[in-house]
Amino acid sequence: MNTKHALARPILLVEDNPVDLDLTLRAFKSEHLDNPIHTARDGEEALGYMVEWERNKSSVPVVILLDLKMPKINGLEVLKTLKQHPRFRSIPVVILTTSSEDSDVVEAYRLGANSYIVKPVDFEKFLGVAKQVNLYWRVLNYAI
Amino acid sequence: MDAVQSGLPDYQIRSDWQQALPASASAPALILLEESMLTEAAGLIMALRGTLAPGPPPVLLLLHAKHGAALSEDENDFVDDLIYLPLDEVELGMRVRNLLRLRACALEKAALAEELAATRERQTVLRRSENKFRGIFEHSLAVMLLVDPETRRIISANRAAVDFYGWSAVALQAMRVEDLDTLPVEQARKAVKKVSRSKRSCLQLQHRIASGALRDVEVYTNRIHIDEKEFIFSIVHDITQRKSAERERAHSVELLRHIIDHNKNASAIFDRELRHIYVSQRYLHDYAVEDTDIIGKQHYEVFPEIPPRWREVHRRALAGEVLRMDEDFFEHPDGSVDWVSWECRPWYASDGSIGGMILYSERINERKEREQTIRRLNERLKILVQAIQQLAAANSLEAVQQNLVSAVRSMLGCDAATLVLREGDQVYYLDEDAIEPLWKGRRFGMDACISGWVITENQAAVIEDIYTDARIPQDIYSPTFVRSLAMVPIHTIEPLGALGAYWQKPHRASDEEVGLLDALSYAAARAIETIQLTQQLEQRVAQRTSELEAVNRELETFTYSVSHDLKAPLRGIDGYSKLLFDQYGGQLDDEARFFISSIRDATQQMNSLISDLLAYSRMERASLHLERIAVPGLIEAIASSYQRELEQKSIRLHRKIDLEEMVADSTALTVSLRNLLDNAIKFSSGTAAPEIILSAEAMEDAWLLCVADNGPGFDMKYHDRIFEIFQRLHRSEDYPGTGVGLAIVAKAVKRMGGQIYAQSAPGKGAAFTIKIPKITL
Repeated sequence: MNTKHALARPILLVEDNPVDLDLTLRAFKSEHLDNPIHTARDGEEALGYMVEWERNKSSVPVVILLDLKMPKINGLEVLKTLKQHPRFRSIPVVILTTSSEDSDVVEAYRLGANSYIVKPVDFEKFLGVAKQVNLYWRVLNYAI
Repeated sequence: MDAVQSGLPDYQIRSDWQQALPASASAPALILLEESMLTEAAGLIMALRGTLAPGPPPVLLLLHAKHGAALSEDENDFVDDLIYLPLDEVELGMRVRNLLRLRACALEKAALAEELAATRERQTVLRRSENKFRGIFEHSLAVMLLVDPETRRIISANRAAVDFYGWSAVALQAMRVEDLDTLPVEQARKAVKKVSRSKRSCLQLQHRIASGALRDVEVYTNRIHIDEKEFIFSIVHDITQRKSAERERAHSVELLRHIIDHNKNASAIFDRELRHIYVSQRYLHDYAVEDTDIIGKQHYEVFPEIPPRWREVHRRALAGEVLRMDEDFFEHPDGSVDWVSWECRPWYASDGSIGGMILYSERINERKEREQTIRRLNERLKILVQAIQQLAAANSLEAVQQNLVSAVRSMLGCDAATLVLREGDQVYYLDEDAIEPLWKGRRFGMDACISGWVITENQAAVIEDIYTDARIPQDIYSPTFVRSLAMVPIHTIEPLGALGAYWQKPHRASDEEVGLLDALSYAAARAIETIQLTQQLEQRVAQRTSELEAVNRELETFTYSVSHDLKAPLRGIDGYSKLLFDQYGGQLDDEARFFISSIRDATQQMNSLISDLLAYSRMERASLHLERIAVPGLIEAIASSYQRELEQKSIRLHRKIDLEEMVADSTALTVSLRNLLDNAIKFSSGTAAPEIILSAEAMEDAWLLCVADNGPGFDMKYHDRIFEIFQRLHRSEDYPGTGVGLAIVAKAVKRMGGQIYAQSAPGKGAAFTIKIPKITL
């Protein structure tokens, strides 16, 4: 595992919707989450990151926020690939999606998702989500 | 005396009267009496007078002297003449001759008189007889005719004849016999001639009467002499009725013979010695004998092979018993058997004694044969039906093949049966049931095998002798026991195979056998077709199911997209309006800020609507999982999740749970109760002392769950509409909502097989009851 401090390591945000992407970034910003944020706009791009991490031995993200419904390769496939990879399987993956379908929730956890968050429409609640990610998955998770 | 002697007949001289009395000799023709013996002789002569016929002989008295009338009256009476002695010879001779002549005359006269009297007597008798005869003739009820044989003219006809013929007596007497009878004149003449020659005769003729009608008559004739002439006396009897009856009887007899002859029973009539008296045509035919052979002959002489038990039957019939048997057999010396149905009964003579016996018999070989055929066919059909039932129940090709060959064998009683399937240009002997192995498991070219021919031509093959049929490959058959065969195709849409039956001995399969084989093949083909069809259907169902599943997945994807894609812009609207408000609120006036808050309210409303729609669609799609639910625990969990909201809105929730457990889909039940609670909270929160009662109880056949509030209620005329999607009874500014909640409840309850009721009145609150029928797991 990359020993670089978790606070300095990037967060990978996989999100195809520009509005959601922008709002998420803003929510992180309002939560004073300073880690570099890498964004991938679909599953293919996300998997591209993996190739890059492998090749450059660069630091892996402290957490991956993964949307499910995306063009080309969907979130569950990305999740599956990640969780089958010996090196990347330990990266926490938080599913951040609009779908509240039981089937999606069950499948995501089966494939190894660490958390499943339904995107709230209410922006205030969205801010709560950002806070939760920051606290639990970026800070707390690596503190213990 | 000498004087008398000359020219006189014999004379005797008697000296006394005792001597003079004739003892037996004929009386004397003349008595010469001497006067002295007169007194003495008087009595004797008187006595002679009484006895001698035709009278006493004349007496010539010889007187001695002429004394005149010296004779007494009595003496004078019997003395016919007298002469005085001495006798003058000539005078005496004259006197004697005279007396004898007188005597002869008297005698002749007496004889004549006597004859005349006799003739008169005869005439009287004759007259009386004639009168009697005439009376009989005239008054007799019998028809009588008197015919002149010379002229054949009717001389006389009696009253009965007049009545009978209808002609007057005068008219009849002008007729000849040929005018009455129907014989031609020449024949009539001959007949009359013949009759006239014989003393009496009897003829049967037909006479025509005045009306022109014909009468059968019997004519009795008699020769009769009237006035020295010969006539024919005829008595005519009308025998028309008798003749008619005779003809009737003859016809009846003829009819009876006809009936007997054409009866399906062979009939024979015997006398007591069992000699044939009469036999019907059928009898002759059935027992192959000639009429001339049999009549008068004894039964056992004609049929020596008749067994003792039948002879016993004959004996009993002749003793008065009636015996019968519906089915009996008669074994011929050559071993062949005739089946007969017979009846034996006595017949009675007119005096009531048994005259003989009648035998009715019917050869029932054909019937027996038919019966046996039917019995065999029944057995075969039974096997066929069983086989068809098995085929109908078969659900795989293996099950069709099973028992098919054994069914063929037991059905036809053949020595082998095979099931052949087509495999491209080959035939495959899939299965067989045979007394010795044939070709099971082997394959032959289609054109090298009879089964190939049957399959290709799609028609049956019946081969009595395989060694003479060109379609048979001799090299394949010669090592086997097969001599005869019958084979039918199994044909669905495609020629599929063939079913064969084989015999060791030469056997020409009958139409019936081929038909049965064909029926079995047909049933097998239909079973195969059905299985193929079922497989196709199953495939189609599977395909359809997967299509439906695909559609369902599509639908899920769609709703997923809806939730995702509709909510994303909403999040943008809400997020940016919030950011606008937070970061630039200070630069906006109150109205602008109201706009922003309205945008965010609308966003939240839209969000709720989308969420509810998703919930509704999920409820529609979700599969049902019925399980046992601990009702108090479920309600406790639901209620506790509402605890904070209830406290905030000061709503009192009462629970009346009289139900421990029920069977339902827990998700559907939870969603239903939550929606009802949401509803109750929404509508009761505006009232002064809001209250909600949540109750659960078990009825006899259902479980009831009820959520009641004391909100504004609604008019029951809308109670149906409230469970329809997007239906609202209140303005959204009064009671916000999407109009989906109760539709979700209705959907969930319906999916569990239950019902939902609403009970309300304006201002009286509302109660919603879920009724789930009791089921056990």
